[in-house]
Amino acid sequence: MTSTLLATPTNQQSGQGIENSTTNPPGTRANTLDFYARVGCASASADLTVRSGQTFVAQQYTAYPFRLSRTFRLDPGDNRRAYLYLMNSAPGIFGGDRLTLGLTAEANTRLYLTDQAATKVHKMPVTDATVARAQLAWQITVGAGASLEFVPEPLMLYADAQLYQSTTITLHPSSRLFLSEIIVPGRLARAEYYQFREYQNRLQVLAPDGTLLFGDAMRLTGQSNAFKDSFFFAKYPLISNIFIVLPNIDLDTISHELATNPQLNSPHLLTGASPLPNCNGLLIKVMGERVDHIQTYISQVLACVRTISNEPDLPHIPK
Amino acid sequence: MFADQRWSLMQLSDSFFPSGSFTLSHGLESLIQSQEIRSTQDLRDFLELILHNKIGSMDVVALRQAHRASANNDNREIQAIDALLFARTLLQPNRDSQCKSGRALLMVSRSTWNSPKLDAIHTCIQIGKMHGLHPIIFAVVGQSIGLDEDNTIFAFLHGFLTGVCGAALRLGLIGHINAQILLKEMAPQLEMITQKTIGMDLDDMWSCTPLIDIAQMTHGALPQHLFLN
Repeated sequence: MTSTLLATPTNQQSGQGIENSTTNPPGTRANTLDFYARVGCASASADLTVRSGQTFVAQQYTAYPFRLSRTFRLDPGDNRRAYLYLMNSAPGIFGGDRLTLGLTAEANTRLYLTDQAATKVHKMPVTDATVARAQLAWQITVGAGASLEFVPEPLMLYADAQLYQSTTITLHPSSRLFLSEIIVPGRLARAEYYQFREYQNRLQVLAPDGTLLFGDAMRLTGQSNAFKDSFFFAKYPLISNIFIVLPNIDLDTISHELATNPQLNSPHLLTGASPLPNCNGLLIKVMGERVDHIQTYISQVLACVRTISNEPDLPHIPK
Repeated sequence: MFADQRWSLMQLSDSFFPSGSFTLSHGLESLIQSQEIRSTQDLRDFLELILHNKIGSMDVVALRQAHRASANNDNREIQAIDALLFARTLLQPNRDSQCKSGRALLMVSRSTWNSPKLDAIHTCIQIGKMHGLHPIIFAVVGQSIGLDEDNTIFAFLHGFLTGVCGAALRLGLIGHINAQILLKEMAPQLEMITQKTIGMDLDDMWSCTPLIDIAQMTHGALPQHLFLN
């Protein structure tokens, strides 16, 4: 099912945020969130800037500190995929933040979503319970035949930070997902290492009927981590995960590429891959010493996925 | 504890009990071959990390809840916990080995102890309603032979610990004497983990052993290996 673009998007003030809606009445689902975007696939357009088959932002609601970039078309020779940057005008995440974000990728859309810079999780004073920790929650829905590539910049856990993060993704059986994350346990260049208090990250990937396909829950303690100085964490301090779900693609092809492609065998990284439960998907775990090494690896894996899926080559993503 | 329960506990937690878990190294073989683990202290760190950050925070939590469901004769809940643990076990080598050792444990247990509960679990697995993961089967076996939650968990953890120490012994990392000293020194950790899970429910399950996960993921690619994971 595709969306039909009826009118040129307009910005509207809604509550304390800005709503930009083209097809649905303003306020749908968005009012309880700090950020919400819905992308649709155009079938016919009154707006000459959007062509049939293109993914476009059908609705967006943004409240402080979030804004969404304009839509970029970066695939060479193929402008169906939308490239969007989620922008955060705050200096980072602070104690007391309760940020909820939503994203709906409607049927047949193709979206690459990223952000502009690393998310800094700042010091949170333990003396005041109201600001002793922060929460960040994502609710994402990916419709039939849609493809979501969500490649955020690293999350940096500063000294005395405490962040509870959750991501719930509802995935149609025919949709594709590429999700990556990089966790940096402090400002390593300043020798700040595991000085945060705690980081929890819960991921749930659900079928449309609510059945859990797979889930992950990480609890990483900082100052009280008895293992932070053992080689299990100290040798490769950066932790990264890549979740890939690709219906109708032979995962062995990707696994073979991961094992044999020289570009994907960096001497600076420790990597491993495993099929995920209850879906045609792959989990890749990565540990390293430098963010740029891991980011390069993630880009190369995504490029590999694009090639195997007969999708346009991954372009340079300006940052 | 009654004499027959004491005997059941001894029998279930004995490495002589053929549950198939002696074929698992939980990533230790891979880390020894890559020379990341070279000493008894490294092995101790490995055991503490995996016990506190994976086995104790995930498998034992599921085991405790499955034991309670078994005590309530709630077979649906046992199936739901099995399905949840399967969906939360993201590494295929672990899922495969947990299924194999769980089914092996069930087969031996059904032959050793007559229990309608074990027969019901067997039927669920046969018709595809359950995966039969090792911690879940262990919970139902422990409960059905009269062990309470804590003793079932202690037997499970003891089996895990002796299994990994046995792997370290066979891989030539430690000798018999050091293995026994390590087992004795680790005993308080098992008690600590058992107590920690009393108030935890299924939503509280978590794990964080990234380097060990990668070692388990790459184990299959080792040129030669003794263990399944």
